[in-house]
Amino acid sequence: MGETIQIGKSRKKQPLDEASKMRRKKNGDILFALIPVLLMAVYYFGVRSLFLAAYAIIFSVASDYLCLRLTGQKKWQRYDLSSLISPLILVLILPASIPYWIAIVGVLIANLVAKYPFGGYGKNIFNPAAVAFAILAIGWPDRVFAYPQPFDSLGISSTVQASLGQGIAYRLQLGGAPSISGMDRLLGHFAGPMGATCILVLIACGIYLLARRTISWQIVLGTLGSSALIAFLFPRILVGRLDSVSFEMIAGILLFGAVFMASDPVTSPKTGWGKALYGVLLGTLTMLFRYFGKMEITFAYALLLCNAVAPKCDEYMAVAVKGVKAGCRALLKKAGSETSPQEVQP
Amino acid sequence: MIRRFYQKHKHTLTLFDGFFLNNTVLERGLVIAPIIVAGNTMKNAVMLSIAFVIITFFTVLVSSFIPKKLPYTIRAIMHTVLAAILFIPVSYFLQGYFPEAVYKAGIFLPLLVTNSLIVSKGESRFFKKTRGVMAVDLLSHVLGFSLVACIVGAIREILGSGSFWEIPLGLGETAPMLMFPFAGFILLGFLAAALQKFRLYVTREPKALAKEETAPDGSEQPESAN
Repeated sequence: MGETIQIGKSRKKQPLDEASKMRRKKNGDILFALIPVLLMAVYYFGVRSLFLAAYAIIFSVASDYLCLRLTGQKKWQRYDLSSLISPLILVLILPASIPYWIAIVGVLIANLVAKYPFGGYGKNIFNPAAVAFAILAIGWPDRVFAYPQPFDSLGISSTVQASLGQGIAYRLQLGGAPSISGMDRLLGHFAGPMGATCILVLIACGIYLLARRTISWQIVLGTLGSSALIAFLFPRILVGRLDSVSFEMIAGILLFGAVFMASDPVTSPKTGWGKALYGVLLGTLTMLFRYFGKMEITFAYALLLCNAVAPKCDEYMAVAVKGVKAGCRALLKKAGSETSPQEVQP
Repeated sequence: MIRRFYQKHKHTLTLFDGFFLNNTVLERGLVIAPIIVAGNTMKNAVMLSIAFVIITFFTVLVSSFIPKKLPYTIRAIMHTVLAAILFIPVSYFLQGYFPEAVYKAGIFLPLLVTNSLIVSKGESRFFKKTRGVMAVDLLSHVLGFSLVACIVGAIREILGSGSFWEIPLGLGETAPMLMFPFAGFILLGFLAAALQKFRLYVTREPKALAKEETAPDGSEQPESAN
């Protein structure tokens, strides 16, 4: 008996280990940065989005706990907030008019298909929210890709009466330019996924997370830079290259995904160069799928592919960097040996 | 209670364990392709089951008479040739009863000829037993496949298209994604996990259970002793 009490006391006094500290910082930051995005969604689409988030979180925590017990653990790891973060991310990339049960199915897919079969938090290969979104988009494309206009009254019943329209990504796919003014583009006055339209807020969240070093600049810059470059070089619409870049950036969930989903520390590469390759690959694949694919929102699929090759990104870039360094050194040596005799002669 | 029943009749039940506990599809992961791709409606599932039961059962029975002195390559070819010969009447029979389902199943119906029960399991499992035991074991294996095919087909048809045996059930919402192969994979995975859980529960002896619960935590042992 005495021994068990001692164990209990010492466990309380134990200082945080490195992994817990990292987890606390990263998960806490991402959860904190998701709150303003959710508030913007509430501002644009009403209380319904708050209800969606609440349902998603309740079901996520419940299913998470059930899976934990099934895998033989007694409670969550310290500062494991993933059962709050991934349902929030999933809900924010769905339209606000989505029926509650589809969001709940998505949350269950995220936990039961993408997270626990691979071993739970910290061991999942694929981003749970991206897996859930990918499956929902295949399952109910007419619901997932139909967006309400901002400031429409949606009510809080499960089915929405308001008229639903297409997003920017769909119009770009048809080759037409949406008529949205510059300020509206930044503020998010257009139909789109619940949390992915408020561009200014997303940029602010991204800067906050970058400044806190919670997400890595290599991934964000690689993703956004490569997709912007492709949009600039090969525009899909005829109104101008810069307009093409700005529309491609705000279409779909590219910006939201680059900030909140791509830099997930569990599923992204670990080294700096690996992250850069991962980001470039992600942006390029997203744009390629947009140009040649049938799906409207392609980021989730590109992300899943990149998740699968993330460890290889580290490996290949390590070899490449080593090779380039060795090559440079050899060249310098050669140059030095060629110049040194001349220097000696005078 | 189920566990007690199983422990009591273990020796009889192991004869039939191919049907459920040692299932071809869920436990071994064999012959999953037809179920995943073609088994998305009840009709398809029943058609696949009939074809599988007839082809596999009679092929393995007959091919157990092939002498073992022949080299393995020739024996394996002979097994498949036997199955292919048997497939001809079966395919005519099925085309009469399920013309649409045969068309939908496409290549996966003829591919049953080379399923792994015929090609490899016959050599490694069935031919080692006496003919009577082998027939019972084989029958439980092929019926186990039919069971899984019908369960998967029923779930996918009811939830995926809201009907059963092509009769609409009047469900409000459906999940059309269940008709795609990837959903078949996921569903089969969940079923396999459930079976594994059940198998571990059933085969674990109550005494071993009590020992293991106390063993890992040394601190708990004195309490339980008191």
